[in-house]
Amino acid sequence: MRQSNLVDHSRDPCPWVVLSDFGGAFAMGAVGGAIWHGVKGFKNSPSGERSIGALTSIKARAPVLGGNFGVWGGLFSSFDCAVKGVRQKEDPYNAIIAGFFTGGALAVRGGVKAARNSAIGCACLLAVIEGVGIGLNRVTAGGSRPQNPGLPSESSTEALPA
Amino acid sequence: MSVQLSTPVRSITLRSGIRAIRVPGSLIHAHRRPFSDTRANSQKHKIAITSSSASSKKWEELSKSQKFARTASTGASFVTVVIGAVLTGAILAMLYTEVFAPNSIPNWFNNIHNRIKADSRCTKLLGERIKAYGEPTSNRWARNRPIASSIRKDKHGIEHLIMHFNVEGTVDKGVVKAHLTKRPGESNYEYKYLFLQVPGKARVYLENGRDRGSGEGGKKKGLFGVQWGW
Repeated sequence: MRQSNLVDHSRDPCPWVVLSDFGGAFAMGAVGGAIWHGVKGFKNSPSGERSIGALTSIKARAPVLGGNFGVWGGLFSSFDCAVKGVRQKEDPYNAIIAGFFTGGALAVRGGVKAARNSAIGCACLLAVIEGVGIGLNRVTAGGSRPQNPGLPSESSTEALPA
Repeated sequence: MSVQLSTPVRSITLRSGIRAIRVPGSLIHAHRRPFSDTRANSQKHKIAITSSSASSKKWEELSKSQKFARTASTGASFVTVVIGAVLTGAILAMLYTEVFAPNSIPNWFNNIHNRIKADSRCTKLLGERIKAYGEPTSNRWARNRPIASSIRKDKHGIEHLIMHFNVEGTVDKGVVKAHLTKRPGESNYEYKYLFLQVPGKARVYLENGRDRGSGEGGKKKGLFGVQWGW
């Protein structure tokens, strides 16, 4: 599947990457939720019970947020793999199409209209994320981008069987 | 009856009087008028007016330092809005030029991939279900292997789009390399070459600018039979 002499440090192959994406998204949501709801619980508790309030809030809410993140991440990754499987290409359109389906699938219980709006919104969001990613890549990691080996010289193309 | 009512009503007016500082409603006053004395009411009304802060004053009523403060805060808001608009525009422009524009790398990648899939010589070498992908990356966030590409402008102002990516079918895998050029006046890229290289096999040229050049005759051979530059 891959070039034999290159050690591939990239992500897992497709069915398994869904699992790792789900876990990663859950962890991200749980950690973020712990911070967010910790601060919120601390702020909204009466003085003297602030730390216990923060803890209660974290215990009640952080796993829920983690679960929401995980559902989103897992669903998105599944759709991403499915789109890759159908299109047989790896380019930024995959994420946008997968985002469209993810948004639609998550809002499908609200009816056709809600699903459509959510799908379009999610696709736009992912398009913007792709754009930001490309832009950041341009700005920061200019050297680590995959580079083409310059122009082949005239003589080398001359010798090729046309 | 009025004597009996006077005590509770007064306590109500007192409490609502505190509230009246924040809620300057003439309705409350009109309601209260038959029960409470008007002088107290007018006093409360005055309090409500004088409690207005600098932020709700008119520009002419402000002192010099307040004018400065308001200019600064309005200016800061304006700058924030402008920065946001510029960033949004930059992201949208980046998104368009890098993804959606017809001359963007992903679109050329898609075009070339479709040509490879449609070409019988390529399908003979690679087999069915040809997939295309870029170079392996160590970036944990990248879901796609990025396509190696570069767009450079040479000294003649000709833009060179060079890209290569991997293709893999059921039989074999190979590398597709493409070189496209765009002359200064033109809006579309033209193929210089496009070929598929499967290791151990002869190259399959889908486009070769050399053929076109020789077809036109000796015009493109260059001065003194030497091709100077591109």
